[in-house]
Amino acid sequence: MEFNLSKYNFKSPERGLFRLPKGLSEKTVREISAEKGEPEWMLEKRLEAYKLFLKIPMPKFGPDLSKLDFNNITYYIRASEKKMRKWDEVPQHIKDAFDKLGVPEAERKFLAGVEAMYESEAVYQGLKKEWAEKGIIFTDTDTAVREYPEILKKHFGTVVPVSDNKFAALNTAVWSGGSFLFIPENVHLEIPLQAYFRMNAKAFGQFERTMIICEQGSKVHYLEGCTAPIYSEASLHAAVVEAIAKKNSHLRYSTMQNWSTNIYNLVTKRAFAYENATVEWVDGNIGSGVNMKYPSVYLKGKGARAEFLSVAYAGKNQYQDAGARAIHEAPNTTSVINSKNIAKNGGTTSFRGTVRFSESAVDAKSSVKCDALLLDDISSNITRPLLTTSQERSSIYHEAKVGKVSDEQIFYLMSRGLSENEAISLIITGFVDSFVKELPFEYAVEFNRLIQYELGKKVG
Amino acid sequence: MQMLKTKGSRFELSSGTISVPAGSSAQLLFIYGDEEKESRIRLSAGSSLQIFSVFNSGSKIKNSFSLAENSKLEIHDIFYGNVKVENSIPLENENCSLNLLAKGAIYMNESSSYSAFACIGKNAPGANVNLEEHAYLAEKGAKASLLPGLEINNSNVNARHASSISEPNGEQIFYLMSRGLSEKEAKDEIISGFLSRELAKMKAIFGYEGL
Repeated sequence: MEFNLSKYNFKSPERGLFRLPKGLSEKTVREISAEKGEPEWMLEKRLEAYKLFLKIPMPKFGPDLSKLDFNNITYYIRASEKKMRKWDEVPQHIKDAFDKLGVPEAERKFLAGVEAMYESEAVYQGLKKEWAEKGIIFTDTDTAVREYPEILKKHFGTVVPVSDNKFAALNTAVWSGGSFLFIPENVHLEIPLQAYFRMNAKAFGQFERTMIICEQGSKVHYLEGCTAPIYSEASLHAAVVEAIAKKNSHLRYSTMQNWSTNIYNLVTKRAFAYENATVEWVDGNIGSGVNMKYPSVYLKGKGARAEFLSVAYAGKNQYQDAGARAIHEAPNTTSVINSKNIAKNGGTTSFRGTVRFSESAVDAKSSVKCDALLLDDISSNITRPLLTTSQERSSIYHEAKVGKVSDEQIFYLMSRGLSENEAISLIITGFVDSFVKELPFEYAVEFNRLIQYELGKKVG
Repeated sequence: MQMLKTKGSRFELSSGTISVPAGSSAQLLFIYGDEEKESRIRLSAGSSLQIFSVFNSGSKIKNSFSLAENSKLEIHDIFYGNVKVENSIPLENENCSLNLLAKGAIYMNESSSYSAFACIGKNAPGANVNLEEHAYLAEKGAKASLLPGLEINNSNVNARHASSISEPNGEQIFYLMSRGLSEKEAKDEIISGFLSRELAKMKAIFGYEGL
């Protein structure tokens, strides 16, 4: 199968119209806010968050973050004068980048809308007319601060409090861009919306802030893709996603994280699910050098449901510390966590799962499954599933298996004429199949190509 | 703590460390009460050890193990009530085998925390690891926290873990109550069945009659 990594790993010229000098201080925070012309309440939130960021210690678990230098990062770059509604109006070098990534083509073919974020700001945003007419709001979060302050102010920081962790505090202090999605009551958006995040500059930090609000009875599928070119200096992606799924709504959030390996991907993604709402995280982690991502759902209404389906691949110099958290706070809530990890060429994959039932989670149920494949003797896998319950009328089940690709399976396939590499690829395709079939067709094809490319470049 | 050994078991106890000599096998039973304790257990090359432990309410126990090549460790734990158990089990040598099965029953306003973390090192090919932790919440206000952790740094291993927390099955309770048992008696009967295999082994090997 033909696959060209330059599709993701190309470098565009750095032509920031405005960029802050490297480093983080209160002045940085104030300058970002001033550049955006924000209201006072948002500046206050940023400053409060900056103070907390300084106080909160670095995480004491997971990958080594000691080489992450907060003062060697540029916190804000504006690459375009303003956000455009037509691709033809986007500056040519940025449009070229998204053309290479296939974003405009995907929008034409199978998406309801696209937001493209380049460095710190959204450069393009489009929502098809038929969906806009139904009252769907799909814009960048900076625009939402100006145009929908009541909705944003009401929910901002309520799902992920500023004090949640060091990187949530950092994001709140210096956030820029991200998606704001509002689905009105009983509106079903049957085709996906997509946000695409591209980092082009080196030693840069992207801190988008995404907020999704699904009103009662609504339905949406939000897709997210991320790429960056490889530089020798480390960059940081510390996003915060807050999602609210109200009564009887259905939110699916799919991520295809393919950052380059010089990037620290330290994100906080969390959803609240109210009565009979469903939240699904479909999470593919292939890129980044260090990834710490544990999508969470707080099941707050009776009958709410959460599903997590994730795949992580770690190759050379990669540490994928991924997982899921299901916090059951209401009766009859259910959660399913299904994680697949693959490590090769010295990479480390880790599953860090938490399922917690509070006393009010009567008759709640959860099932956790995390399987891992180690493809050589220099790679590692860690699984830490923590199950905690304070409600006797509840049940949690967990199982996991870690192993290598079976020699018998390889032998069987080779006896049918496949080479060893083809046999291993086929087995791994089967291993991640439950994940791939949940992706839109075009993404599924791309994901399979990426996985096979990653395997092929080391196996072959 | 009460420790019993079966006839024929060979082990040494020195400075709080239990060692099983090379090529020997041992079967040990520990009964923990309201106490806080740390133990170290060493298995020499080719040895095997079966450890049975009963953690009663109030016990806070940390066990650390070391396994030499070709050694085999079986852990059968039962815990009741307010307990905190932490097992650290690094496997750093070839062809080690670890099989851990922990079962707990937790009653009203009690809280149990049981964790076992097995780390298979790069130099431990042929390791075979199975971690299982299960808890029944028998009454209202019972709390349980289970963590069966695995770290694997060698692909030539067989490793799995599983855990579950639940209340006794409603259909089973209904069946037993329809035969005249009260709800509490039915739950006790189900929990007794849940723990029966481990208790039967303890009785057969050590003559331990349980609580």
